Amino acid sequence: MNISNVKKLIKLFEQSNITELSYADEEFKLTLKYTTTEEIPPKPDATGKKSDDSAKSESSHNETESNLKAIKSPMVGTFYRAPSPGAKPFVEVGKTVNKGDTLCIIEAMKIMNEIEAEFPCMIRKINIENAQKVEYGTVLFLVEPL
Amino acid sequence: MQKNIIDLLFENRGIFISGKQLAEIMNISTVAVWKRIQRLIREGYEIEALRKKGYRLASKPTRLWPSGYNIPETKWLAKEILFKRSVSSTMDLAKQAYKSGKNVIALAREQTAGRGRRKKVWLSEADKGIYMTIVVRPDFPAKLLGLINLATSVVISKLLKEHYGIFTKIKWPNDIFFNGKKICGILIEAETEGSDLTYLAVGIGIDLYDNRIYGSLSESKIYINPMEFVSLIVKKLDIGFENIIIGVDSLLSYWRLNNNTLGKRVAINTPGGLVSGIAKEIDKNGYLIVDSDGKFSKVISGEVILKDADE
Repeated sequence: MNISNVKKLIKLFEQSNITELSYADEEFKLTLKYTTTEEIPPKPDATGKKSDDSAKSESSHNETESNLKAIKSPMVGTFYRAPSPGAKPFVEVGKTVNKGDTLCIIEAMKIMNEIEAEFPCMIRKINIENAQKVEYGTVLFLVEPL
Repeated sequence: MQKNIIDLLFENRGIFISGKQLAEIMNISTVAVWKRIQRLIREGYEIEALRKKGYRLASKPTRLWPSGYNIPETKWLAKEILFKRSVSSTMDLAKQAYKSGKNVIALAREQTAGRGRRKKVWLSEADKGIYMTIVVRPDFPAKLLGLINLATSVVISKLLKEHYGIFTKIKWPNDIFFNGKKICGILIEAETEGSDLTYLAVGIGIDLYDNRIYGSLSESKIYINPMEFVSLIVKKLDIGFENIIIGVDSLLSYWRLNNNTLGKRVAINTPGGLVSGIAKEIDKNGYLIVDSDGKFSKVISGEVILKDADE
């Protein structure tokens, strides 16, 4: 396969709704895969194989039971686990929270935005390190609704 | 600017002015002067009234006194004042009230635990400033949240200029400086569930000294009546919130013309590491674009340190 065909293939892949595409011939092998922070719907026949760990949200899906829900960032900003430096984090893995309880703070433009639980749940995974940048839609927590 | 009685008394602190003199300057009757003085006394100003001598402001009228507040018609901001002499923080007071179902403008003469970004201490001694938190209707569009801070700083800076003749500069994104000193800090606290805002409050702390903007002692004799200032802030900020929705261009252009950050050497601690270089521009979201020897970074959060001499 020559380079212009590869380009065409990438373009087609981008325009399509599929999230993964593999191509192979005798001397050439190509795999295209989406690793955005947007949630990728788990496929019923998911193999569980991981090619790399480039996307955290994706790797977490592989170990996710279907009853876990993702809590995503509503804005671009900085993720804080605690109300102030040195303070106790709002939540830890294994903690159960009620609707309205604060899970973390996202800061942008000096606006402190407390992210609250939309439903009672147990924290199963914290995806982001403290004081890291997050994008709109970044998965912050995986939780188990109670 | 129309002078009122409190301005005149303030300018002549320690001296008696007769009711007749005041009436002449104000172009009102002596009875009207007397009525206004009585109202000021009810509002908490300590004014001495002596027969044959006239009126004198007895003590420094530094206090916030909500009875002097004119309630502006607002669309987005709370209307009801909740006043306490002393609180931990007006942010806490406003939130407690909100949880019990009330949208308030929380005001205090003193905060014992005033706070800024990431719980940094904001010194809030009694009667040395205006400490207030205004609750905003949570149906404000959440996607415009990022511009609230910038808009608030623009509203206050503009208000100081247009009503009091005090020319301030804004440090990215929202600290207001006068003569190189920070005189106003803004803190926004929001809560979201999913993509919906459930709570939004704007905290404002303005340093006052002897009822003037700190640092304006020599330049400006302008007396700031705290409650009048609070009413103006609420009125103008409500319009500012509407302006964010209608279009941010005018807010951004005021910011660009009245800041101390653009064109300066800056260092900013961001989550992605230290960014240093020249502050080039703010984009339509209010984010700061920094040029580090040709490498451009977009800064969304972090404390800006101005590397050049004071501005």
